[in-house]
Amino acid sequence: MSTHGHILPRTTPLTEAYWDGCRRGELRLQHCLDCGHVQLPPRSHCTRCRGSRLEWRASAGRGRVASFTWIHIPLTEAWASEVPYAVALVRLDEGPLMMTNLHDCSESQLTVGLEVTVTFEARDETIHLPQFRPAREEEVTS
Amino acid sequence: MTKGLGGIAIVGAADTAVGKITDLDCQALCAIAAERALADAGLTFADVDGLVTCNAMSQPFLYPAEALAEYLQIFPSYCVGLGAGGAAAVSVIQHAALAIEAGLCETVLITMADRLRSGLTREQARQMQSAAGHPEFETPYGPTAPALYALLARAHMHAYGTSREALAAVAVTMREHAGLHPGAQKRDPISIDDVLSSRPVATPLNVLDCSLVSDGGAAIVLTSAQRARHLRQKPVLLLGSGEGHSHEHLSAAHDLTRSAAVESGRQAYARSGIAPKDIDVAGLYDCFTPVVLFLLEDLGLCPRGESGAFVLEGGIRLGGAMPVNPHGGLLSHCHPGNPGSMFHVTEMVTQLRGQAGERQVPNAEVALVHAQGGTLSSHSTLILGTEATR
Ligand SMILES: [Zn+2]
Repeated sequence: MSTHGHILPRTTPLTEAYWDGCRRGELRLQHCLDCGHVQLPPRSHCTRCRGSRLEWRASAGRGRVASFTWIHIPLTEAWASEVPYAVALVRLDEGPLMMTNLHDCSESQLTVGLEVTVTFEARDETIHLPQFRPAREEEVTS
Repeated sequence: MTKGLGGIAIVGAADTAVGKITDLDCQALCAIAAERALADAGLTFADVDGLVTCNAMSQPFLYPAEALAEYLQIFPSYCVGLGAGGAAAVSVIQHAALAIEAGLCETVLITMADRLRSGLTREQARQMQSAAGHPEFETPYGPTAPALYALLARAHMHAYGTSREALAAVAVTMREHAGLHPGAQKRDPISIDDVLSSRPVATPLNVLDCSLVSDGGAAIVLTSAQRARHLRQKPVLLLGSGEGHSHEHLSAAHDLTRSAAVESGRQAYARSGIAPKDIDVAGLYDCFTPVVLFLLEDLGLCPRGESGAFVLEGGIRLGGAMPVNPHGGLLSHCHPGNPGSMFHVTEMVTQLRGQAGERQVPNAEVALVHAQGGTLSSHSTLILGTEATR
């Protein structure tokens, strides 16, 4: 648990590079050197070709909202002061789908398809949680 | 392999009281359900040589099936505790049938109970809530179980223009059906407006889009169809079964508008030789209102993308084109957790025997039961029939 009581991610040796990237303001994804597949969560092998030559690369940190919900009854007390808070599934431009919170976003602004940009929130010294906010005009890709 | 399981029959079925139960624990509820199901079949504990159960979240044991056999003081030759979340209660029937077909045992008792309403400690309730998400890549964002289904509901609404009212109509129909079941936990009628104005949980879902939190249990007894002919009740035959698995955590889903119920249903139809149009009554897992919409489409019970209109036109009501959950389902009859879909099974058995009274679907000869666990992750389908459908 963090100082605010939010549940922290249960990390593994395989995901150290991911959280290390987050501390440096980088959302890192695994790229397969054999078939080019990009994946998240991190794994020991590529889920497309089963190869094991995987390389960490920084994501552009952009994507679109695939679905979202505003939570009124929080997961634990730690989230109680934030209700309603937005949980979304974001499709990254590189391909993977990830769960996230959305910040700086009003209820009327949040729609499926909204373009978003990554931002990091320090939950404690080691965990800087990647989250998203609406993309600013100059960041919009298409 | 497209072999059916037509050689196996459900010969006994029973529920315990449901709702709030403060004077019994889960093992006692399992025992009561078992005793009733065996009496229903005209059998006794001495006839049972196979036992299947799942763990109770409010009273967990390291080895739940062995602990229950000990409690019942029965000594089976086949004893299994299974877990696939909500899909468990249906997938265990497939496992039990295989054990009988393989000659490992002759008569299997499947009994399950939990007390999510009265039996959970605060810490157990908290752990249960946060267990739904991926511990590293989902839970840190604070998703609740209803929120995960809300994400699916939103995706369906976006893809097909499904209306908010259609979700509400699922809850309204389940309540209407529960009104015809004397044992249901919630029987007072509700309207679409009641659902829309109930407390928001995770948009677009409100409290009345969410299933109940209940105590209760149910049991069934399986044996060979041949032996079933000499027992007390009209046998309910297992015509076919199927399973489908696509992901465990929602962010790993490949499609937010279609589930592995497609594959599960396809296997069950192929193995039974039954088509969706032959189904007289369906027991569909309904932990949250959008799940019923997904399952109607994925199981081919209505055209893709049209489940919202189908439900709003009364398609799942008694008397509709595809009556669903005449007992009221998890939304209005009861939802004690993993045992939840056992009640869909016992209801389908009651329907096929023609014993459902006021809520009887006339001349029901073929029933489908579908349960799912995770977040539309693991799926299990069963097609049941009578001697007339063989
Ligand atoms: Zn690869």
